Amino acid sequence: MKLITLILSLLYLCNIQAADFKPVMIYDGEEILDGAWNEAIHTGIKKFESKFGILVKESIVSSKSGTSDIKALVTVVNSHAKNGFNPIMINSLDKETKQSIREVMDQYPKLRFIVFNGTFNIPNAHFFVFSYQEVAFLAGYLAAKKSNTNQLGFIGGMDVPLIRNALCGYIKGARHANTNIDVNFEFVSNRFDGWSSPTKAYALAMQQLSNGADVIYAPAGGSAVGALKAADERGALAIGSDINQNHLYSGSVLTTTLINVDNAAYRSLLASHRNIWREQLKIMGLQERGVALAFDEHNAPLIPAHLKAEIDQLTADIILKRINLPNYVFTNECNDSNGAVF
Amino acid sequence: MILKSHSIKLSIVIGLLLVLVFSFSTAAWYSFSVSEKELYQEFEIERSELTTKIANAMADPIYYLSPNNGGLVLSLVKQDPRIASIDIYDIFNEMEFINIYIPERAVGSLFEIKENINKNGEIIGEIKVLFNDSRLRKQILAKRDLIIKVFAFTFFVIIAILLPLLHFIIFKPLNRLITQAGSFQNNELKEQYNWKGNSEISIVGQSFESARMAILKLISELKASNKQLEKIAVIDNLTGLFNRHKLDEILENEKNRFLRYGNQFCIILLDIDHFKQVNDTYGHQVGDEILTAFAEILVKNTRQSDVVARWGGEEFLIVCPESNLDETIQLAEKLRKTIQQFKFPIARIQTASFGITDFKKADSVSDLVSRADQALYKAKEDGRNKVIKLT
Repeated sequence: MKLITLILSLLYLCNIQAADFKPVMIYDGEEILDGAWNEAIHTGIKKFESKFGILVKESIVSSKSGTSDIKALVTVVNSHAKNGFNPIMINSLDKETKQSIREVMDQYPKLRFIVFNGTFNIPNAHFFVFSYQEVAFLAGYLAAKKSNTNQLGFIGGMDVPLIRNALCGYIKGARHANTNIDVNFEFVSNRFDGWSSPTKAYALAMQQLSNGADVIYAPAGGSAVGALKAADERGALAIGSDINQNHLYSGSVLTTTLINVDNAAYRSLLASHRNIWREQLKIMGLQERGVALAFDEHNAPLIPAHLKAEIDQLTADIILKRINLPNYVFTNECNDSNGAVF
Repeated sequence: MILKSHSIKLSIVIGLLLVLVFSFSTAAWYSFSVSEKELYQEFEIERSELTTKIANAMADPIYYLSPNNGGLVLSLVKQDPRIASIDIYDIFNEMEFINIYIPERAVGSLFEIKENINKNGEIIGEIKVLFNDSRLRKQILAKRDLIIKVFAFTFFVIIAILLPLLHFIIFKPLNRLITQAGSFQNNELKEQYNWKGNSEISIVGQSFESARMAILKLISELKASNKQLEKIAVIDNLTGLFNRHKLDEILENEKNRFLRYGNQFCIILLDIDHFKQVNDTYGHQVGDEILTAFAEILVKNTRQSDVVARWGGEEFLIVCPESNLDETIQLAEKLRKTIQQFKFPIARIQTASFGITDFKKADSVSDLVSRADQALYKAKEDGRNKVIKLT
């Protein structure tokens, strides 16, 4: 305990002089109300606004702008920093983005940067890492249990570590349920439009369904609804992502891997507002309710009690670390007892 | 009467077992309930203390929006097999903070403890901890096990001590006593039972033994006195007359009376004639009947004061006190005639020969009898059925 207090107080001493509270959230993707990730963040922001009466600027970086995604993002972040926005909240970063954004952060050491799903060591940045792998493990287990063809589909928004992390958990969970399971995985796009292209996701899903998959998991932000639609049309099952999507195609959405980024957004705004900065990295797993499977009246008929009990047990096993699920975002490798998964 | 030899032993053993089992089970039950109550109370305190501890530890993480900072306490708490679930709600920010649910621990009796989480006097959160009673049960079972072991051990030690004691102090002596009583009952008095010590049973046994000794002594005394009695019996069995022993006494008395007072007396010795023939012809039974009839005749025809005795075989002797020779001869003659005329059973006619003498100053009893015998001999010589006197 003493050690922790010492570290905490050191961290406290390291704190940078507070700048004005002028928050902005910079979304990537086409729209805020995408029925997924962006909408979740938006919910958290609205909660903060209504509670404290302080407006939070919300800005979108679109891949339609013609320039490269990274360049566009860096430009937008840079301009907000220049205008003294604090904190500046952004979404996950791939390797390329990381480096460019880091330069901006170095440039404005008095500003706070908050990154959802991403991490690197820089004193004025704070990170929320969601344990996708944990909830995806449960989703994979559930999918494998429900699959009749022993083939599962996976449609990620972009091929970024965050989605790879979800994929890794998904495959491990599926194999935990059934060692003979096959998982076909594809990504919607290699640009930000991967998060907002339901049509592309629909086409990919249709293709996977035709190839024999009968449960498809789509952690693809706003694109996920396309995959859900495809599964619904083909009488298959799909797993939604981010905010509860069970009701969208009730009866064919097996569950949703909830990423409670709304709470994270709220927390980061509150932390900045009160200027209390503790650890830079917050890991939001099953235990912290950062991630969870959605169970409601829409998917209740799909999940028998014994399966729910198994999921509860697996949840406990993950929380108690009986099942060890390292985060791909940190390790950049996905291994199980048989070696590399991908 | 049949000896029911198992009742005491059986009731002692059953009684002992009942007492032990009853007292032990009552004591064990009491110990169970007391220790269980204690354990339940302890657990109740433990539960609320632990909940408070977690609540205190979670105040800062909630306040500083850092679920991960509860990690150390949580990781300890997560290993606690008593805790089935922990739900922490961030009231401050209206969101769930920590949710841990471990299904395999949600078994048995569950106790939910709710507590507020305070920071700077403000309620910022709420914690709900669900405890199971697994450890409590284990403790209860362990305690029960211990109590049962202790009681069982004591029980068997008591049995192990008591049963041999009972066996050697009560059962074995009792068995011996029963055997002894049995042989007593069956008049088997030869076997000797030695009792040592002065326990109650041994005292009873000893008294049995002394009773046996007393009886044996009595028997031997009885036997001796019987022999003596046989010797000194005064009455002849067959005829009911005085026998020879009594006659000796009477003669001695008469002799003394003569010597002291000068009272003269005579004796008649008579013998049935040819009695051997009677016996040979008709058998001893008839002979006995004739002897009896003879005795009756003699008694009937003598004075009250005269003493008729059977001298032996077919010889009778009559002592006639206060009588001189003549009177005695008359009596003898009278007897001789009466006998001669008497119709005896079966043999019909019988006669007898009589020898008479009177006592003289220098005589001993045997002198007197011997003289009478000589007279009788002479009467036989003279042809029987005669009265001969010899002075």
